[in-house]
Amino acid sequence: MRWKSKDLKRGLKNLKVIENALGEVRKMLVLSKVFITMIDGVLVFLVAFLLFLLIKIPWYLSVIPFVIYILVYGRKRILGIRYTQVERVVPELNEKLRTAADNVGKDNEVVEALNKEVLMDMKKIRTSLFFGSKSNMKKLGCMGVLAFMVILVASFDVEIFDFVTLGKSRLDDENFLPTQKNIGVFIDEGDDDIYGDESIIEYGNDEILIGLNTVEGNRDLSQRKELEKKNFASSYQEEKEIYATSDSSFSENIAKENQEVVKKYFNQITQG
Amino acid sequence: MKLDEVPNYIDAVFKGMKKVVIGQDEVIKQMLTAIVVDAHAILEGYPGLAKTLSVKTLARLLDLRFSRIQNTPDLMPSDILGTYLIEDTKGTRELKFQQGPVFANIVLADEINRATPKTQSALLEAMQERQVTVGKETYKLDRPFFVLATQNPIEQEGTYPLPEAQTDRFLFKIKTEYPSFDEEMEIVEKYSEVLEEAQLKPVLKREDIADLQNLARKIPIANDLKKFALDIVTSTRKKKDLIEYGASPRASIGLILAAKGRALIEGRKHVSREDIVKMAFPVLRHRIVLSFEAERNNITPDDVIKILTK
Repeated sequence: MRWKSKDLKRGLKNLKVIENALGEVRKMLVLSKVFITMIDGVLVFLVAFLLFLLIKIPWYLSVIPFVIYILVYGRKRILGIRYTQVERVVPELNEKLRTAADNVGKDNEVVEALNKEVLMDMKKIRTSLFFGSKSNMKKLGCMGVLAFMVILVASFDVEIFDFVTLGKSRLDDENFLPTQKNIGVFIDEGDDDIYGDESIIEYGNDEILIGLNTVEGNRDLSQRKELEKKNFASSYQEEKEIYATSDSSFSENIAKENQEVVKKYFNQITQG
Repeated sequence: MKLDEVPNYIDAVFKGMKKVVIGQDEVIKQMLTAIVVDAHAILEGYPGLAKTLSVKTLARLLDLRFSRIQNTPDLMPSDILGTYLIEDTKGTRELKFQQGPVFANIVLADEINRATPKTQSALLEAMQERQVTVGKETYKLDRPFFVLATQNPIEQEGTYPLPEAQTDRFLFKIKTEYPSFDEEMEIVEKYSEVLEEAQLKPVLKREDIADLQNLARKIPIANDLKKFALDIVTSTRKKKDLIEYGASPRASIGLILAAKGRALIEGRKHVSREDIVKMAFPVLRHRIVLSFEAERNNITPDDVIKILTK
């Protein structure tokens, strides 16, 4: 097929026009997604702000859900941009727009005619179709209500509960301090070894309760001292053999005439 | 033919068809699509549903050479392809090739399943290669070349059903259905009162058909729709509970091409999802072999295609 230079120029011009038009549509879609994500993000921020005010958590922490929302959903929405989103709001472009976009490189009379048709129908795309939707209006309304509630809650100092104070009181509460069981120390009650664990032998039966108060944890680092070396050497000396000699109980509250009998009896037991 | 003129030509063909055939709109559309995408089609339906009449009428509207082969069990391959005859010219005797009915642009192979497998094979070879070999000579068939075959699904005695591999040569298997009550009333009124045949003039010339075929291949398709079409075809190979043998890649090419042809006939400059769904039936129904379980449950290929196109 021989190309006439006039046809070639016309073809290239049309190709450029449709490419530019598709670029514009895409740009508008990106902007609409950014706008919607920002509205949703602000809503998330306001809900978090209100919630944090009610439970006495520092308000500036509500920026965290806002940032997370913007990053996660903004990215997802921008990556998920498709021409079908435009086709949904402009039914005249249904299937035409994506066909034109997928066949941008091709140049024949049918594609050219399709591009012309698409360009004509693209005039029906209004920015308001993407930005002024009903759901966006509802969201803006919700933002207004939430902002009003934030002002009310802040000015009357309304609170459901004080999250920080509650945390402190729970830490101060003795019952809340950890015991061997609730910190997960393993106690083997059915151990056959009568000597048991060495460390338990050293401390006898006394339980060691350690509690760390994280709330009042301010320490003056200038007041620190050098470590003292403590000697935890065991004072316990293991008996080689356990045996009995006599019992002192026999001399207590026993009538004098019977004392000799009892003494004999015990002596016999110990010897036997 | 210019792109803008296509709807006028298609409308003229439809109007001509409507003068003779009442109803069967989808059959007419699918037959025309076969012509536009340069493919063969087989029409299946009960007797008296205007299969042969539709093909004959379409042939009259196209300014092409038309021939009809009435298939019977005693039909020989040479009856279709042609044979050498001794011709006496100026005192010398020469063998001259006498062309058979296959040397036409539109061949109506009526009741194709009545011919023996040998004769069917001779025709199917001509369909595939678009050439005929008799003895040592090979003869090219004239373009365009379409075979529009018909077959009756109920009479099985004395028939030789086409194997799956052979029906695969037909791009479409078009099903003719019973007309609606109103359509049948119109048919009765028309054919019980008027004796003479409707006057039809050829609407599409050979070059117009070539232009239509070129334009059909140029119809663009969106990538997601192409993927949708391929998903339908490849899913026939995965749905083992209903399908024993799925469609081949030839079906994928056929489906995309058929959707393009339909888009052109509908006057669109792009393929739509509806084109793919509509054309999936004639393209796939003869290319899938149902499982025993599906057949036992009276599930038809069309039921399966309906599931696949959802």
